[in-house]
Amino acid sequence: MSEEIPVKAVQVKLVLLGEAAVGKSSLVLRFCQGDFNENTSPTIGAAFLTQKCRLENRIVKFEIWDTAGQERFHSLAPMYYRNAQAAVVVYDVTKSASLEKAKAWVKELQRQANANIVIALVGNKVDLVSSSTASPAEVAKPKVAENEGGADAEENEDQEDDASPSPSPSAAEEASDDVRQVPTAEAEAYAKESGLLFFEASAKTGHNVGEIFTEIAKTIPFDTISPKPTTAQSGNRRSANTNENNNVNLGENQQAKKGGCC
Amino acid sequence: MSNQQELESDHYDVIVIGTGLAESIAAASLAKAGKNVLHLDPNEYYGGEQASLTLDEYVDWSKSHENPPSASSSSSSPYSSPGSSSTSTSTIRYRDCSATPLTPELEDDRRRYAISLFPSILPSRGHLIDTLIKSYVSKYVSFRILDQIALYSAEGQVQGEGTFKRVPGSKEEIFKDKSISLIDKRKLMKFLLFATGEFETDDLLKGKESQPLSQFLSESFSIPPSLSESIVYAISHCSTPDEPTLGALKRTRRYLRSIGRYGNNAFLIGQYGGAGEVAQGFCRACAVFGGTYVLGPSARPTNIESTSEGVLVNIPCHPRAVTASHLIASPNNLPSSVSTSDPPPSSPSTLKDYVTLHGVAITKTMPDILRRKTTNADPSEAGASDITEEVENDDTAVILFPRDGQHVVKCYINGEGTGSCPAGQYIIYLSTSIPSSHQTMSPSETLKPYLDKITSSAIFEGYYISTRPSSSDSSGSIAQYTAQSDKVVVLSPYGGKETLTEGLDWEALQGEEAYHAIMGRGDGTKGFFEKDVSEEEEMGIGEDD
Repeated sequence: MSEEIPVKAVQVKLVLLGEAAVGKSSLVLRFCQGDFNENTSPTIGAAFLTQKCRLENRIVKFEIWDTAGQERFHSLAPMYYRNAQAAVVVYDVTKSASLEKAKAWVKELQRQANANIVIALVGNKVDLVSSSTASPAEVAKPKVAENEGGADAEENEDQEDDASPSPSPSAAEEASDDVRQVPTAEAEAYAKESGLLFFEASAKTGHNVGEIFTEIAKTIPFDTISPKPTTAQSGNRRSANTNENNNVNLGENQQAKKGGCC
Repeated sequence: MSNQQELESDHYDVIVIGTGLAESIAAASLAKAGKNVLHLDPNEYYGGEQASLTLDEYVDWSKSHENPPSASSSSSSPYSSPGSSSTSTSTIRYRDCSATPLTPELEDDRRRYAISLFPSILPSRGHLIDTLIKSYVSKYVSFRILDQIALYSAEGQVQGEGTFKRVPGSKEEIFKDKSISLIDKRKLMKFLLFATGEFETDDLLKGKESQPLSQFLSESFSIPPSLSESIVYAISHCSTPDEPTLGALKRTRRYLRSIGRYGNNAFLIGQYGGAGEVAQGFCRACAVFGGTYVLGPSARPTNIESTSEGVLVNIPCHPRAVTASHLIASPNNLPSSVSTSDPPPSSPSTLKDYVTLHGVAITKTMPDILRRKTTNADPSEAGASDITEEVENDDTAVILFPRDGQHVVKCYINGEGTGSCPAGQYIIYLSTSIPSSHQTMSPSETLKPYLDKITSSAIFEGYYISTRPSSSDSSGSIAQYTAQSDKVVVLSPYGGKETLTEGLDWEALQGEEAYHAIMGRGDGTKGFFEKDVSEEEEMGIGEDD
């Protein structure tokens, strides 16, 4: 079977963006640890989280960068966007202003990031709106071929329960349509015209969370980013992004590991 | 988008102003140790004096420093401090900036450049590398080995045209170098062995500590002048042959011991503009540990005072005054009323400024100096075969141009592999220091002839002059409390003439000292600096002062 074929993991830097308190960290926590905390404090403490996502033909290892609060006063460093191959821009379906912010972040990404970055627009907190209108995320059906799960095994168990398109069981009864401020169609139309992947999800229930990352993994144009370093006209092949071999790993003593000289 | 959000608190443990490397290291370590840090920078970009700028940002920066700051307002200081020219003694000043206009192509690609205001290479052993490893910020930044160091010699085969000579970077390369006679190799080896060891206690050095290095080389090691020049400029990285032997030897030892740690060269090059990117890495680390970041005009303090409990700062992004127990900043970011510090007791009151001429150029043609010759192969044979394609040309280089009686001109080339310019292009930095009495020298007139020796096809050129207070020559002052307040820690920006090789480690040391100034050197707190560095320190380099 496919597991027999040794595949090496491709590393992908994924950055999170979105207004404060839309649940960026919760989404990642759900994805990476299958976990949700009702009252997470603003992000503190983790440089980045990693999680593998297994596709049919390759394993994608996401290195997920959180804003660490640096988005609040628009002080995200250029380093944050550097070499990101994917971005998840999050808004809160119960706050229309958060979609506007998300659009601004998409613009910022188009300005700052790689031209071929894959961007997913994610409306979070669908557990707060009643399921009838939340018909949403059918856009991205969980048909996804995650034989081995979108992520690690334990998370997969959560997903089995929650990721099904059936009405989210935990959606509070009293939560009515009024709570939803961003109609699915509106956000979806925007995503479509801007060339973004689109999902509505719930970090709380896990609904659609794994799908976001699987879909991103499937969309990244790996064939154009990793292979042979592109030869510059000068015949100099030390391209910054593609030829990682020339980079030094400071953490270890590598005695003159690279050939090249003499 | 206007973002009139206010800060979460009226009080922080520490406010840090400026996101230069030293400030960022201090901020990150303090946040790691549990301090609540507010980090401000009145600039729109990270990095302060160490910033890496996109090309358009660089041009803007250059425009804002076209003229010398008038006596009453030091232009780099955010404060119009009426009538106080005293600030200018300790701040870094820029002037006479000029830049060629951007072509449409450069305009289109402007964001793909990272132009460093602090071009520098990093010895593989020293404060910054230790701090990067201890803090794990090394995960955010990537480095490459410097490809070559070369020395220019005015005597060439062709009249009026000099030659470049690669300086061997390792013992193996010295043995292979056919231009050095066997006898000279032996002398050179003897010196290198001496310089790598504990020479402080060696009889060979006794009484000669302050002798000019070149004299020491010839008298104590019988090293001939041609070889001596290579050692002085390309191994010891001195600006003149007259530098005192002891200081030069200490640096030489560190560089020699750096060889082989990561590769065949002592130096690393930070990608995406180097210092500025490293500063961003520390800022991110600080944010990850809870630090709050505000950049741009809304972070420019309108008022800073020291109080009995600490400091009080007014900033546009917050409706009320913000207080903190401590403040860290360099003099450029402090009003003189707060920053004025006692001159270090030992140093004379007349501080000497270092004036440096700088140039930045971009070319789309590979400078010849980067071309790797097909080694040993008979050039006539190479014709048909593909051997030439297999040779990987250099991407980075440091080239030194000795000048009689004047400081060396240093040239530093960054190719596409550094991520600081588009593919197939090169950024060329030039610099030389001049005596402060020669302040009228034009940076372009002085440096352009050297740029011409590297490339004749620059598509962009920029020049400027910086003046740095000479605080940091070996024995200089380090981050310290001001006279008025033990709540304000004033950093000493790098002020020597060896920015290229020494600047980064100086800034890292400043950051560490600022951290200790606030946390003390006590046991057990949890910044990066208390951490044991196991095998890293085994080489015994980490202990320097």
